Amino acid sequence: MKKLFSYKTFFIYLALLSTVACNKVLVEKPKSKIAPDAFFKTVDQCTQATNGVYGHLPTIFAQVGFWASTMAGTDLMMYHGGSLSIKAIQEYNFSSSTEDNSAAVWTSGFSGVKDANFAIARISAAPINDSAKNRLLGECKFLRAMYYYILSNDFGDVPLWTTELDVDKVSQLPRSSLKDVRTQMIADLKDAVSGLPLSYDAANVGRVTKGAAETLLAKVYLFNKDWKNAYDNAQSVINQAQYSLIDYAALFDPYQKNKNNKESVFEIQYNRDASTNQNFQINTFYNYFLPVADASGGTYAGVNFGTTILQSYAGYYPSAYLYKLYDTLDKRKDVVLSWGYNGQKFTKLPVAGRPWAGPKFWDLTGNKTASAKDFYFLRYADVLMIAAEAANEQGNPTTAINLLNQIEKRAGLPDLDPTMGQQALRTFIMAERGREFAGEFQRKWDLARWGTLVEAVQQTKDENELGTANVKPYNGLFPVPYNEIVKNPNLTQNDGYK
Amino acid sequence: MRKFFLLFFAIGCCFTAFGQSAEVNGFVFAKGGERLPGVTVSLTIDGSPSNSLLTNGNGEFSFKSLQAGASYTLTASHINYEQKVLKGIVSADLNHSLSVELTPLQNSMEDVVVIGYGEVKKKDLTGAVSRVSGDDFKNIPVQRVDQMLQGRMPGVQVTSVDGSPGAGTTIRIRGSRSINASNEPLYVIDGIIDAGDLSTVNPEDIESIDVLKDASAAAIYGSRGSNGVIIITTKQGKAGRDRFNFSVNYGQSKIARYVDMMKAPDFIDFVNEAYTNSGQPEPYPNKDSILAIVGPEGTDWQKEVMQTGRFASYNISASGGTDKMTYRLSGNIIDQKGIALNSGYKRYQAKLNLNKKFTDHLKMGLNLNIARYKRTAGANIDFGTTGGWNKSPLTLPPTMLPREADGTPTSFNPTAYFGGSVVNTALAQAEMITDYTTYNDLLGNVFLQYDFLKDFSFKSSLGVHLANSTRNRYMPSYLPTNIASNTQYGNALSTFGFQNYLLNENTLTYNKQMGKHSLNVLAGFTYQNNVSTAASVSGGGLTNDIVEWNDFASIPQDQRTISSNYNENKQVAVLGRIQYNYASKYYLTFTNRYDGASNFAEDKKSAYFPSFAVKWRLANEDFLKNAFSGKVLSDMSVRFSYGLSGNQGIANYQSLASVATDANSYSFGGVPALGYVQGNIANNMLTWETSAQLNTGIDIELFKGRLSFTSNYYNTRTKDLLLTVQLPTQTGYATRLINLGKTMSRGFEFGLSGDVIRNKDFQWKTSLSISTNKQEVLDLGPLVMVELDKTGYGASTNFMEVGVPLGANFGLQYAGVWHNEDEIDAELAKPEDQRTFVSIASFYKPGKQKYYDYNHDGVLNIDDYHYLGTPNPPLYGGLGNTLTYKKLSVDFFLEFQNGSTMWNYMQYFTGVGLYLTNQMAYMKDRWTVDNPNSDIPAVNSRDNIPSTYFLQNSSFLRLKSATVSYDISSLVFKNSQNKLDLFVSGTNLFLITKYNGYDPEVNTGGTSSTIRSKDNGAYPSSRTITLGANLNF
Repeated sequence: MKKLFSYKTFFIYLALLSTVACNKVLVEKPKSKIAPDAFFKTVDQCTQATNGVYGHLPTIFAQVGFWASTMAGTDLMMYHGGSLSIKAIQEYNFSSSTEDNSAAVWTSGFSGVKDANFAIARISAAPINDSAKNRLLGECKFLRAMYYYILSNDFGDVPLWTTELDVDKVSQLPRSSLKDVRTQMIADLKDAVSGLPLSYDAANVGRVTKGAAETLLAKVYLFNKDWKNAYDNAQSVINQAQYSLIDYAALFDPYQKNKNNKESVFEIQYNRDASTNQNFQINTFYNYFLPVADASGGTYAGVNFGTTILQSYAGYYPSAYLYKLYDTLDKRKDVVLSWGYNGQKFTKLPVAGRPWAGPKFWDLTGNKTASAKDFYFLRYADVLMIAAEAANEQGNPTTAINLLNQIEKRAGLPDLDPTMGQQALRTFIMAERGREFAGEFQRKWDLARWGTLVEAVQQTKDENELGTANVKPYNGLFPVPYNEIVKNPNLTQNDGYK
Repeated sequence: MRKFFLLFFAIGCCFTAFGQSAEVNGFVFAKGGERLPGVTVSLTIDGSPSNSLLTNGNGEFSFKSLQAGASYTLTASHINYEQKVLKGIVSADLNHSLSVELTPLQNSMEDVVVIGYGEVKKKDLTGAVSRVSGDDFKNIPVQRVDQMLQGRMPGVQVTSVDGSPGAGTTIRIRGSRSINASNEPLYVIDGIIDAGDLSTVNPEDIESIDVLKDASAAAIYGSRGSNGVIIITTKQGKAGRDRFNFSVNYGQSKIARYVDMMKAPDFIDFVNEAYTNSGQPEPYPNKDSILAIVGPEGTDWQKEVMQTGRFASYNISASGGTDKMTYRLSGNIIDQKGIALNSGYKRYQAKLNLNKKFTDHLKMGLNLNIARYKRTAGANIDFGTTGGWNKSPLTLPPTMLPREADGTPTSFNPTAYFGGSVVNTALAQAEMITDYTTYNDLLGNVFLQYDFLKDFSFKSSLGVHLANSTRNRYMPSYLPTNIASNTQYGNALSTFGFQNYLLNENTLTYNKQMGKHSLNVLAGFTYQNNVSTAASVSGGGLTNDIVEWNDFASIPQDQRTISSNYNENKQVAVLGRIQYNYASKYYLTFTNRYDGASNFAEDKKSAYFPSFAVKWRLANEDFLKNAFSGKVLSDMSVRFSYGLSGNQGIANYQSLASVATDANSYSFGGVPALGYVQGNIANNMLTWETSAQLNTGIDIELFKGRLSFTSNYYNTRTKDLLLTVQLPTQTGYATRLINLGKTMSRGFEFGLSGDVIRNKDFQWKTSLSISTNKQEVLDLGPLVMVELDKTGYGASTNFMEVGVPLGANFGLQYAGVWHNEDEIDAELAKPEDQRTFVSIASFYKPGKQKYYDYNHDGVLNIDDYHYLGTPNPPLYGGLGNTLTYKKLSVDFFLEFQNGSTMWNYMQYFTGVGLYLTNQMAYMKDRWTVDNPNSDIPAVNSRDNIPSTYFLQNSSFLRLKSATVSYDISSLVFKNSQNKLDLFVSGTNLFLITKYNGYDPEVNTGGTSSTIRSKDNGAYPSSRTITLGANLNF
């Protein structure tokens, strides 16, 4: 027994000795990982962290679910094939647990919010000069507002947080009211407007400009029905004279020749080198709109595009309503819709007597599922139309008509009847936004803010019978993803959804 | 013959018996002939101990300077033989020489078992430890050491990752406990912990493999013992003459079985119907014209990518030494051609074990293993993953010819999407893409042992594992998809890995026998440092197919991708063990280990793991001895142990906050920019996962060890699981690693072995191992259903939930298909909560799948997913038999598992009539208007709902190996010490299973903690027949 005791003493002594040694020896000194406290020391580091916040944009905008949440079940686009969950949106036959398109937007949107919050908190405290700091913070705050803009348009009330992540706290955060969310977006965008430059040198094209921040600010005011502020901010962008309308066909060149043009206010950048097939940021958008491939290979609905490496899922086609929206003179018609290409006619159509989606949706430089087609998030035509809609709602149809005539002129159409009243103009703007922005991820949100979703879906009764029967006013918002409510019981569900 | 040799030996030894003073000398030999070196011979003169020595290499001993006429008692003892005592009078006759015959121990209880930092006799073992010895695999070609455990040990379940050459295994000892931390056991190779590459260990070098299963045995490895410990001990040289062994194996292998897919005629009917159903024109309106081109059955893609494999292995070893120094030196070459095109395995390996005794107190030793191997695992070939649906042998249409007229692989898959698509078929991948990894590996351990103060022994060892690996892959410019996209450039990749592992262990042992009290005390300190670094270079744009990965400067600068990585892990431990027994009847073992690991949070790095075990050896009690007179019952004991062990099997730096790089975050001015995002979230609470295990066991030996039986019951409870929990994604993160939850794993183990028949000419040895296992998640904190795995096409297949086993297969109960509209209308007419069947919204159509509505709400959603079956076999084991008739010996080994289920992921494409791919043969009986009573889904019925329709019973019975060998020594050699066996051996000779893929014993989840069995494109398993010869001289 005595031996046992001495052994124990020896053991305890060794244990104590090692505890002291442990703490020193076992401290981790990672060489391949950087602690946040050791970063954010220079302008370069802060810029790289800002780049990281941009990095969520190509992800969100390349999501099939994001397109579906803004395009399916509207009056402009019809489901043709692909994921059945997209068809379920069109037919308004989904629940919070089956709707995985908007659920993907929820996840990727908050992923952006997280890194925006991280960068804003850290750059604010970084020892760098104020002008660089304000610009970088401006970019990050614009992006945070943009992520919240996407989230709140899909879901209405969403959890709102603006500080560096405290994971236990944010995990339990309930939804904030849409009003509070938009108040935060407005505050962020105002900061962005004051911190950002009008333009950048060639190496920095693609970064957020003052004009972009003001345009998004105008848009948020528009969604808030704050017509005066919407108009003033849009007008301020017009006054900057940084932007102008370009030819509609050139705007949507299917060879992607005119990226970041004069009309582009904020554009989601994609990048691949077609000559070497090297992909950086890519999407599969065009695959969903190209006419079906032929069995013989190389042609698409009988048409040779001059490239055989395209791929088609033929996911959507233009609705009969969209087809009818265009006047025969409208130059936009042959960009948005297509009967053929380069003198060849499509031998196969999505529905008898109806065109496929047009060059606006194509990328003829794409290789299979790799396309570097950019998406406009904000463009000058939108600035004009925000101002026009805000002016009309404020009771100034003449101002609105003058602004809209710029759009009409570019479309090759005559000036609007100067005697149009507010209501007639309102109806016109609703249709005109459809003509101008079809496929630009705006329609669902526009219909929801106007409260016209149900009647818009009725327009497609002949080709979407189920959707017409099922659609309800509450469908303007998507349900909060079921899985998220399971993980955070503090989240409430949107009205109408189980 | 034998007598002749004995005489020969006797004459030989006489030459040594000379000298002037009186002597006692002679030699020791084993019953049956062979001389025995290393036998302890002690001499007592006139009743008092005189001297003790070991026999030399020729088994000789000699005690000199004795007084003639004194009476002596000579005791010869060896651990593997019964002790022999001779008495006599010291003779002055110089020619007087003793020949001492020792009888091998029949009682396996005297066998030594390795227990970590020491060894004990099996009779003195207090924990649950199983052992296989290298001898069990005589003449059975085994490529990897871990395969030696398959089916052989109760409580040890070994699954091959796949069937590719050199494929690893995933092992569960007594089930899974952890969810995100590793569930793989700890390996100790010649004393080196948790390092070394099992691929570099030659099974022919194995002396024994001991598996520590219960907490008491494993606790000496504390931190890392919770998943059990596998101790691999290699053969050491023995004092005596030099002995040589040479063996050669050569064999061929073939795919064990093919998956039953549709042939061309059925496929044409199917795809025409599927296209028509999708509103497309029939792709093959004229069936006969297609069959005329592709043949009556069409292309059998599985056969196109398979070949006859070849296996050759050559071993040579030499061993021997003196009582001062022993050595064993061996070398091995394996050259294997896989059963899939362009796959193979080649290994060169050498091993040296050296022991040197400087004085009676001081010795040193070295174990060194050097290996180089090259593995071409077929990673470039898609054997049937869901992601490779347009190119794998299970999905390519039989209506597509495999090769063009000029012999190059075809590339236009006519049914990949409407209109078809250019793909790199599995055949093109196999023939055009090069992808292999070479490994260089050095595992060495040098130790110094100093015995002092009679009872104390100090041992210090230094182990190193220095390894590097290089993976090279080249995808040439002429790949079909490159040609089709007019981007004809080569793409090269090289990945380099380096490992630098160091282990220092220092132990002090005190060993004391005081009357009937026996005490062994061990204390030690260990330090381990493991640095691994990796670098990877890759890029496309190569304008030639010559340099491949050998000149990365040929890749345009903007197309090079480079990355590197650094990982360092440190561990320190203080350990101690007391083993005490009284009269070999009552045993107590108390083990503890105090562990620190760098990969936990700053204040949570250290933990203490104690355990104890008690044992009562009833056989030594007088009442039992008298009852059976030791004739029937030769040994019997009962054991009980309880203790804690830990798991730190997580990656480094998980508790620290970090920023993470995103090399192509966004493009500005058309140029991709580097970005940083928030990386890991700090976790100041991250600490050890702890398992508490209870074990009770009984060991019985009957008829002097001819029959032995061991049984254990264990129950392990693991808490503070290292668990990757799903976070609400509003945090910007999907998951996070924390300590949460409890699991349980329990079961019974039975092991039976015996010499059933032991006649002169005929012997039959048998061994049986049966294990049961039940696992359950006991607690998940606030988490409800945690998704573990999904198909990548919207079907979530595995979940974790309180009350179900780990890695459970989830889904719905399949109820067949809707047979007609009336059936659907009748069902939908019922109120929602009274319906029996549900479908996804768009599948209320004849021919589409219906399922039992689990929660009776009339809607099919994730709430209906429920537990369908366990991936972990509740019952498994093996049966081995060796039959010997004179010189002919037959050995076979059967392995089985029962009650487990697994997903065959391919059916999500090939079992639902999808127009894109070939289908399982059973799909020809699908529902059609003309076959309305079928319960197999109609064409285009992919709903991505995991259900019992896809879930497969993975029970199986396999003839793992069978060997027939014949000892032809007497025909060839005059010297009976020389031995030559010829044998023929087969592996995986038959497989009985209901599973409809290649083989149920695969896991494409790799060594994932929770995914135990999953088949998503595993390399098919093979059947191998080898011929071999084994020569000893």
